[in-house]
Amino acid sequence: MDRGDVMAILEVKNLKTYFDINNTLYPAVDDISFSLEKGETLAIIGESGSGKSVTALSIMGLVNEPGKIIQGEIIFESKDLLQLKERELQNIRGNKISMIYQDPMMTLNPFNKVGDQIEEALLIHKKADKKTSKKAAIGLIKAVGISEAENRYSHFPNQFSGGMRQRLMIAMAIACNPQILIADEPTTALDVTIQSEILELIKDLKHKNNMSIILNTHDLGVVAEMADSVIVMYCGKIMEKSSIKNIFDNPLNPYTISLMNCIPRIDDRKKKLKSIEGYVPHPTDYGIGCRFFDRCDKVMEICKLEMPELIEKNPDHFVRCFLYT
Amino acid sequence: MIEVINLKKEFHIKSPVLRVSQGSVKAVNGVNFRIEKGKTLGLVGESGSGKSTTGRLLLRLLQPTEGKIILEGRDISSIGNKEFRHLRRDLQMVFQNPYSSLDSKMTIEDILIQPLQLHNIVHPLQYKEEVNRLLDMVGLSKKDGNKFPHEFSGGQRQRIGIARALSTRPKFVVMDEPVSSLDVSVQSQILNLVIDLQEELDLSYLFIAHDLSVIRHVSDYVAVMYLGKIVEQGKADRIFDSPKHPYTQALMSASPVPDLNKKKDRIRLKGEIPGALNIPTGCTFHDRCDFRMDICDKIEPEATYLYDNREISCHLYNGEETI
Amino acid sequence: MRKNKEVFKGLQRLIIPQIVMLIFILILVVVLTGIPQNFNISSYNGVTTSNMTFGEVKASILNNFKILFNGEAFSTMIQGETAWELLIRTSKKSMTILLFGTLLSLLIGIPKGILDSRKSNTSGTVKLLQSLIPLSLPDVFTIGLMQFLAMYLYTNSIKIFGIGLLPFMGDETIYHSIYPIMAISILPAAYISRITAQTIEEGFSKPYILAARGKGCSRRDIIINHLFKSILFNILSGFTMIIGIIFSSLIIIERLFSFRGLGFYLLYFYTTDLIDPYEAGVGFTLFIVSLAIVYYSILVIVNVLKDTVIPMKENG
Repeated sequence: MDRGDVMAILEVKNLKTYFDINNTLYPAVDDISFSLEKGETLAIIGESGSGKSVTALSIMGLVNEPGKIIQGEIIFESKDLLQLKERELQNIRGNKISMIYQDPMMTLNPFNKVGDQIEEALLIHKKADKKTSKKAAIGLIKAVGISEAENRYSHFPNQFSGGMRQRLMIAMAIACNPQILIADEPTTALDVTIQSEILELIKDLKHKNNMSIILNTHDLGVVAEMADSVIVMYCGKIMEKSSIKNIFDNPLNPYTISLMNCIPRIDDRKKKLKSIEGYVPHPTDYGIGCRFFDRCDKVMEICKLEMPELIEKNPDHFVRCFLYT
Repeated sequence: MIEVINLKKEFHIKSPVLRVSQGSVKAVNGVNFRIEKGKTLGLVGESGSGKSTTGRLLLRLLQPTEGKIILEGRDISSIGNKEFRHLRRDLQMVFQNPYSSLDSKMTIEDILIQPLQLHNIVHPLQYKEEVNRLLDMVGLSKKDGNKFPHEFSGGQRQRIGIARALSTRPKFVVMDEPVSSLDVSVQSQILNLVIDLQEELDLSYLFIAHDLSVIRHVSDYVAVMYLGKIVEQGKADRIFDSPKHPYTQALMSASPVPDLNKKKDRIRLKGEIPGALNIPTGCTFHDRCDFRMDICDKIEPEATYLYDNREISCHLYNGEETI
Repeated sequence: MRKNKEVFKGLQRLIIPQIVMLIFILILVVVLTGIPQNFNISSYNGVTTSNMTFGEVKASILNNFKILFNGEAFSTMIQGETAWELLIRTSKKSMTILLFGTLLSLLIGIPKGILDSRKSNTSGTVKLLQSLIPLSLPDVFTIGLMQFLAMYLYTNSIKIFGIGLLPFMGDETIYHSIYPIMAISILPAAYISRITAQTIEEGFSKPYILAARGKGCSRRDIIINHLFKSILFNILSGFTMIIGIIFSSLIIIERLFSFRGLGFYLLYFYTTDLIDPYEAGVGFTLFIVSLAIVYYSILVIVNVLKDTVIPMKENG
């Protein structure tokens, strides 16, 4: 896919989101840049502390104290989202850019009927008025595969299972037909059989509505199924960025390679997993060099002293590692 | 070495304010399996399957409603609590959540000494030495003994949890989703550790998880649970290479594989896992099964043994008995 | 059929202990009010004496029970009317203050709480002081201050916009209720505004509020659509405390503003020499018992309301 020709619908440039703890700033997202093409599914792979959730929240403008976006541009529809006022951001959230979250049990209001919660998205953005919103909401509930939509419209979230709640969350998110859907670990809290259903649903909706998707996950299997392009993040930095084919066929960054080697496979029982030694460092312990240096099996002297740059090793394949400079 | 016969556990649900009985949940509904010394049985299932409850029943953290648990030839399901306490040194558990299963007010040393004290494992003068030995065994250092749980990461805390379980020199350990809340890069460390320890100490494991690839990696035998029953069990390799029960097949096909070349025809299950109070009649899986026959919603299938020593509960295989 | 029986049993289990508790409290109240008013114990040189024998006190207490049960208490004449008539008349007066006072406190408290919860530049300490000061000063002080203000406005003929001169004591007309209503609402309003502000602040840290913001909800949308039930629930939960404040303020307010309702007469019966001690005693007993019953019933109703009407089903 020649990225030069296709329109980028979202461009993130040098985004830095830091957390202010006791008057010191710690990086959660540390100078990342990427672009999302129209109709593309971009997967961001990362473990805890990688910064993928904070990236999603930064794009939505939902970063709460003590987090602060201290630098960067997020260009959407020719405007920098980071410069917009709250009122303008509210117009975009849920309308042009929507988000679904990891835990559907916690992200639906347990005290309100689900129908009301879906209608809210429509009413706030004036996609329907009081009379037509109920019908539209029922239609959305049907569209995400929940049967008996007319009845279930007036139920409360606790009357639904986890998988159904996630479907409702998706209904809320696509209510206004957004151009971008950000999915933050949407299936991590769900059972495996339900997970596959949700992923299929997201794929269907993507095709129907021509949505672009940013998918946060730590599951390489999910990535293989859903993604067109991939970003690998570690401790707030992009370690590798490319198309999905390149990442799987020719992973360059040692972190990416180790990650792929250390997951158990259902289709092949290995004798021993090649595990990654050590632990993900805490932001307060970041050094000046590469943040993966103490766990890397290809570590060199320079890795501890300097942070490598993100370079384009092959066409459209970016990697941050001294092995390649 | 440990055997479970027709194990059942029923919970009675009452409404919150007025305590009106709302029915009962058969969380575990007639489970049979056997684990030999030094082997791992992987128990896999989704929510509502009853796998966690089964683990707790084995350790008598819950009382079985019915059924027998036989440990090394001795029926331990109905002995009194006092007597059972002595057995607790042989039966241990590693919990899922490394953040809540360690007392945050105790140092690591205290946490590890407590079981040593309770069961008189070694002489008090040797506590320190024993703690160091345990820490070393799970890959931590002596200096960690004086620290508190919050000073450690999730993976390290899970190691402490394992050390605690092993402090009583048990014969049998139940691992309840020990790696589910850990980062991917750390999961592999803990899995390797768990396997190494099994070899070293000749332990038997009941390994409970919902992640099939993890189960495949650690288990010698596998049992697949659905709504309180085991639908298929047998040697891990056989089950994974050719699953026969429709639910097992669906489960396998639903697990995403990190490989671009393996495009699967996903088996899509109809409907959702039914709520605990609405368990279907006959075969509990019949309302979601693609191969459903008339008999399936009326009669519960019995467990049958197939030619490759696996046990399966499905009407499709009723006539294929062997042995 | 079985379900109904079980629901009935459940309700029994809930309500019977409450009723038993109420009866116990009433018995205690009647015993206490049955002790004669001029009963005295004095201690001199290590010797303790009382001016009545235990038998006399016991007789007085038992008499108290007797007159309550056989209705004599209600028909005792006090200053020209029966005790029962007096009770009804004063209750009506007090009810206006109680009812409108509660309403006013909600009307002031909730918006103030919403305003307070904004992350504005006013420091947290100032906001805290705003609600804590009325709560920490003695009620008498706050209300007395209010009456001084009222007196000042009246004696200097400063008219209140639209209503004219407001009287600062007495109870003849509707206008006389205005200051008492305002006074009784101050403290509860402070509580309610704290509860509201806290609920909102807590609410904003909940994941589903983050999801609502992700939908594009403004702060106003969130408070109205998502947090209102929680606010009401928490206020109802705090009602036990609030009712206590309201009832105790009632007595002080009626006394200071010479508003002759329940609270006024309660104090009056106890302190005055103008009524025959026996009649005063009967009146006092009657009023306190009614007050206890009303107070307790309101509490029970609020609790039942809180648990059943506002569906609070968290993770099912």
